[in-house]
Amino acid sequence: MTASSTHFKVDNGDMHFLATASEKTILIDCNIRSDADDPDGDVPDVAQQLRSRLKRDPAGYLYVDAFLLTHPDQDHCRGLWKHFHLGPVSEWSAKADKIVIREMWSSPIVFRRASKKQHTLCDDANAWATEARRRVKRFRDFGCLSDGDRILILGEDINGKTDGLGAILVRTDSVFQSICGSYQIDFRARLIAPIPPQDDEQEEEELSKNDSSVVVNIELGTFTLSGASHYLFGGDAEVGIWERLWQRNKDAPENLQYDLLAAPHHCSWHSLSWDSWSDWKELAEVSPDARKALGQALSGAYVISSSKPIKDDDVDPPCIRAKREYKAILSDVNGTFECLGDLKGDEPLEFEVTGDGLKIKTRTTALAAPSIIGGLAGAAAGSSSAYGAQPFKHG
Amino acid sequence: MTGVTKAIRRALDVVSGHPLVREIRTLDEHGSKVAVDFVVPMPSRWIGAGQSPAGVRPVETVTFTFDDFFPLAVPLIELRQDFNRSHPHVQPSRTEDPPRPCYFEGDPQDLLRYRGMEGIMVQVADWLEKAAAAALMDFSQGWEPIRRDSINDWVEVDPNFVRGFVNRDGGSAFAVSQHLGLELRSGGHAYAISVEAQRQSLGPDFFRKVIENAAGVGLSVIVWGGKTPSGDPVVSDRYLPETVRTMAELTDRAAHYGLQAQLRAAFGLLQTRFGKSAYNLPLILTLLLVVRRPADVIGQGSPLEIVPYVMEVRSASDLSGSSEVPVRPAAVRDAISRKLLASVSGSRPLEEAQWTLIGCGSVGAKLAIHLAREGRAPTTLVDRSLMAPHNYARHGLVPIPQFPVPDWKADAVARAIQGLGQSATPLHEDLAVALASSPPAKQIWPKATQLLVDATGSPTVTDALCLPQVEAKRPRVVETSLLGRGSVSYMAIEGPKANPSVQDLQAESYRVMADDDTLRELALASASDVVVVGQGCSTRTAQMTDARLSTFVPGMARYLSAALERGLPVQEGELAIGRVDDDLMNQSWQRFTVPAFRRLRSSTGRRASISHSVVELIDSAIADRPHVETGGILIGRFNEATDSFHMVDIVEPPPDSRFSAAEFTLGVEGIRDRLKGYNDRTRGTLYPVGTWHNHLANTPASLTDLATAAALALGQRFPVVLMIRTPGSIRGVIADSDRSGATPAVTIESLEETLP
Repeated sequence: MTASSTHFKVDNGDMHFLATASEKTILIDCNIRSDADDPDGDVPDVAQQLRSRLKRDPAGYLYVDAFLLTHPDQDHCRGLWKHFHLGPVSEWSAKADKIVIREMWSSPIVFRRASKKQHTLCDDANAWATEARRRVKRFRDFGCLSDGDRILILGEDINGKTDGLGAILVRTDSVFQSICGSYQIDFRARLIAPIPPQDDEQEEEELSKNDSSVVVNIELGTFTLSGASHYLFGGDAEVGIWERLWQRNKDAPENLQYDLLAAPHHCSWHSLSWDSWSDWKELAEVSPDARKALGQALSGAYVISSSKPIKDDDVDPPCIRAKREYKAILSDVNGTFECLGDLKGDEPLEFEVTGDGLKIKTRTTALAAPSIIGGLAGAAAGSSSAYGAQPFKHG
Repeated sequence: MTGVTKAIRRALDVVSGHPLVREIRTLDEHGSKVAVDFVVPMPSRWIGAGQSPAGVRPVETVTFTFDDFFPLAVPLIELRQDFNRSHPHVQPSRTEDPPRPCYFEGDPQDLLRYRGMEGIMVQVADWLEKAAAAALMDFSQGWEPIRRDSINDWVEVDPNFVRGFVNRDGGSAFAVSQHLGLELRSGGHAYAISVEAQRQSLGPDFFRKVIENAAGVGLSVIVWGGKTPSGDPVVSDRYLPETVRTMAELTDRAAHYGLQAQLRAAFGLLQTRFGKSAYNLPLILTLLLVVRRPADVIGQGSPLEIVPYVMEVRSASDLSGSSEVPVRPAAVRDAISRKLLASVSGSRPLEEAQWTLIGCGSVGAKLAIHLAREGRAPTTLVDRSLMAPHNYARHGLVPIPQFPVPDWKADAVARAIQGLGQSATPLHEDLAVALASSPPAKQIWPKATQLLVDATGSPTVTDALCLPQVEAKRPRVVETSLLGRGSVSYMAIEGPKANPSVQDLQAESYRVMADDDTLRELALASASDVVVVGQGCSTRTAQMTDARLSTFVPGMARYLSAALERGLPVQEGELAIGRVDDDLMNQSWQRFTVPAFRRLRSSTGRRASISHSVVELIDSAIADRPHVETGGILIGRFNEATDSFHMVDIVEPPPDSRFSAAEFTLGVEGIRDRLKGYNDRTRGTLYPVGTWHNHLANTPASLTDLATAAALALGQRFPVVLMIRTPGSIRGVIADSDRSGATPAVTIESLEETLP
């Protein structure tokens, strides 16, 4: 099967879905708003769009192989409790028919005490944290895990909280190539952030949830990793993180290269600059290091803004100035900037992975409009009717 | 062009509404010629590079030109002038014209009819996307031959004939061709050419003998390549657009294909034969370059692509390297062949299919043609008669003016089959005589013949096929005929080892049809018509139209085709009986499985066969009266020609019959009326042929049995069967009376079952 990526229209939020050539599925964040599953609502039914792309286990449940939560903000995990099965698989109910997460990929921030500054979690984030702790405890108790109980902790945490996690801990700057415990020949991921804890605990305390975001560079191949395409996901990481990431990776900039970048924090100016867009306007300066960290675009790369439509105004995110900066980055490589909020219709944006980068899938929503308005048009127009208006004849 | 019609305006709305169309610009004052910018989906790194490896750009401008005939005619769709033409789906064109995409396999006008302008847009967008990826063409799918759909000149040739010349050394060969000139609407002309599948030597008097004496006759040259210095065949693995228009370009192209020397040599010989002559009427010369590709050409099962051109040559100088004579690329079509027909029919080609058609009359010829059109023609044809004028009212063939009417039917059908690229051996034997002779004529079923189809509708043929010495040796027979003036059709399919035989099936079918009120009247009651076909001549036939006669043949043909592919029923025989309403618009078939008959044989070879259902009825009657003997009357047919009985039914014993452990005595009460009633109901087709009774032990016929048999034999003009069912066997006697002498004599032979 062709590896692909799907980027759902969730306004200012993130929800990306990857399918590898060997049919492993990875969900990166979710933002399923309460009226997203209301067919009459205006919000795209992303829950259904996701479900239609999933397979069922022989036991009957829909599943994703991995769910990567970049950081526990509402707009990255909204709908988790409602749509995903949390708890042991044995408690899954056909009636509720929620999606099983075979393996959680979680930032270590979920282990922090809620009393710490800024680390108050929404209900969905708490649900994630509870489930993550259940899985980690199970690992500590049994030393191994099976589908539905699996978890990977992406990055070490402060105060030795992640000590002893061994097999389920992925250290920053390392590469992992397993999904649900099995080695993949067409998938590889490099964990770029969270940046490991520093000695200065005060600094760590200052870090917001956004800045504890997981940053990963995921490679998907067509069969093996030869000619694989790179996806850079940075959650909501802001400028300070990108500056530090450039310093850490400037000798190996390929760690940050991408065919597709999900513009951090819904195309926020704060990922590129210390200056407030609404205060400084055009005087705001781009951080050179952050731009370099986010500027490793491969030839023909895409930057997508998972946000509302980007308008020429003071709003941030999404920010028009950030869009301009990304377009400038892309102009050097003939790349394309796409804002999900600007796309017509409800369908997500999809790409196929080829041996030469990503190929956009034609979106069919726009086609539906001009063809048939009521059955009569098809029958009467003849030459401008839809397929099937006239059965094939043979004489 | 008078301006933009409403239809064009609507079409342009569809064009601009396509999701991959970025922009549309008007190029002429009317607005009927537009440039359309298509976004071509391609991998991001190609977009980054500005084009795909095949040279397709991320945004391609395509020109659409609508004329006054739209929407009856499709718009002309052209690519940019410098679009890479070395793509298999680019229409051949002159280099100075913009290349055109071959965006639909079929007639684009039909695409417009069925799917509208949306359909065209979907195809063009899809074409561009595929063209972008063309460099990645997967040879496991095969080599895409150069598209030649829009070319006016076309050459029909048997590809196997052309490819058959190819050897390691390279070379050229000639064949005669025939052509028809075509006036083109656009001006100029073209030729439809058919190449004979026979090599022609180009002797000194060839022009005088062949070309000058026949209008519409031309010559074709087949040119193939040899090997490289390393000994491998020359392979041409690069697409070149079909742009050849001149001798110089042809020479270049031949060099590219590695055929230059061979082409030159062939032209050299032709120049010698022209000598100093120059002709007013040109020689239509067809060039067939055979180019070896790195993979099988799609749909051809061979890596050899045939690249044809047409030239009009008047003198030797027209073939020189500096000749100005135009060279026109031609389209190539496979000559009729078994494979081509099978492919169009959606059938699997059956090279090994072998069957004999007996009877090349109306039904037979139609069957033969149906099967031949599917690539499954009969391989042997047997018919002793000539085509008579009245035959053409319903025959599968039509009279050909060149052939005077007197013609063997078998020969006429064989010629039609040959025309369909297959071959059949015609035999003019009187089948009955041929089969009755000893040894029977083996040429009727050559080795490996799968089945014999008897489409004669002749009871004589049925009987001849069932002569003991024939039945034991021949392949299984399928009989196809029509009954009731074409209102009922009949197919009898023999079981393995001709059990049940066509005679058994015939008797069984009468029982089946007599049980059905409609069939009984339609099929069993009808007689033939005598039709006057000339002064003092008449023929016995059933009057019906060709349409009626043809109604059932397709079903029969389908059955035979499936039988050739998958074999006949493995264990039993079958009857298929069809009927059709008078308006021919409601046809239905019933199919009956007929298990093998139990067969008995006397010491002199007389035969009796008993249907499976009769044995079941007998066993059930015996079970109803345990510990005593029981019996009844056997119904069936006796055949004088094959000296055989075929029993398919029983009549219960009359009420005054007596059943005891020692013997069964058949009563007489009401028996005459019942038997007459049975005979009347079956319209005389079935009648009593003897009696049966059972023995409680495995004992042979008793003296009482023999006396009864003799008495019965004396009472009728054909032999009688007395059948005995014992717990472990079926046996009996045949009694035959002879009243020719002074005292009537009766001979009795015992019958024993022959086990398979």
